[in-house]
Amino acid sequence: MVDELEALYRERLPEFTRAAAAIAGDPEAGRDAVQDAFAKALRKRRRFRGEGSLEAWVWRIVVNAARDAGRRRRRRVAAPVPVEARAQELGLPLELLTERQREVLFLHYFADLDYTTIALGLGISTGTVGATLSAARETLRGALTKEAC
Amino acid sequence: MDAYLDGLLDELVTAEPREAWSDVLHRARRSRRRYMALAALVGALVLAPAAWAAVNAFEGTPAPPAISEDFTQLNSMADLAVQQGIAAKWPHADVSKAHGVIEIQTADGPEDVWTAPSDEGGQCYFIDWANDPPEQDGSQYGFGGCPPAIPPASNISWGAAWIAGHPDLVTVDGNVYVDASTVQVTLDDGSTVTLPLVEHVFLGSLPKGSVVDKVTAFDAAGNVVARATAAAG
Repeated sequence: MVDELEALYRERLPEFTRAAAAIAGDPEAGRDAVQDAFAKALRKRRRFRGEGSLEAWVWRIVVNAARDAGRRRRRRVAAPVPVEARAQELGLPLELLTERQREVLFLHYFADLDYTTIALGLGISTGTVGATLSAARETLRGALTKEAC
Repeated sequence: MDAYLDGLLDELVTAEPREAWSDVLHRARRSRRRYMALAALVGALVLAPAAWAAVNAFEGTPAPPAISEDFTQLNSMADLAVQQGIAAKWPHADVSKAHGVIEIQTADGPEDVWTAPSDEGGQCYFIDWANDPPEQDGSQYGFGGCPPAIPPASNISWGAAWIAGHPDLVTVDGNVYVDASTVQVTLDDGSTVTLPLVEHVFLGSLPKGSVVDKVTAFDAAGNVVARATAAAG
């Protein structure tokens, strides 16, 4: 199990890092969340019961760690976190999305995860993933189109 | 439009990975050791009434210039947030009334929380370590903010923060919006730590990696008067 976790870490670190950075809103906090999440996965590895893939189980831990890191960061600093500031610069209205819509979008886009892995990672149904992703993209499309007009 | 949206997302996050499996192993081992350190901390708090006396002696200390500068900078950031349209308004601290509330002892020296009333009826706060040298701009290294004056449903707002200047510590702090005598934090391993509560503010220092699951406030008779979980904040 330790070897499998290490292999997953080495193979998918860029995707874990980018998605965690997006969810936490801060690249450094995202990196730290990934390190903490894998450490937690190592400690709790006996709790993995093989229901779903190991990767989906680890994604769930990473997402929780990134969420916590983001909330701490936002509570402490009275200014937009780097990812929100960057979104403003780009004219990407992320603030129109719910937290779940953002997470689904980030996991799909930055980690290229399939719907099943996203569903297991976030603890929601596969159908909800599809609907949430469609709604998120539709919201952003609508806002960008309106802005362009 | 989809290609344009994809392009924007592509530019949104640039987080280069830094592979460090050895760091993962280190964090996993350290987390086990921290529980022993935590037990020692609990023992120290229970067995050293002098520590509580020191906490009370700090209350009311006028903020030194460096701490006043921190509150001034918080106000500047609030102005910036309003100017940039992030919020219609943002609380400002009355710097002239900034004062010390709690001082605790940590492995990095005394850690202090200072507060100043906000113009929205709540309290702004700033947390620093007394032994840190002042910054070049005359401020003190630390962190702070102005939580909303409106109580959350749980009647406790709290956070657990790690900052680069004190890498081995996690600070847990917050506000209790009802009358209470003590605050107890419950960690993810089930252990508990009792923290000082002064002027509705509490402050504690835990080893880095500590994860708080729950914060509970008690009245003098030991009855629970408020409780907040990690999920609810």
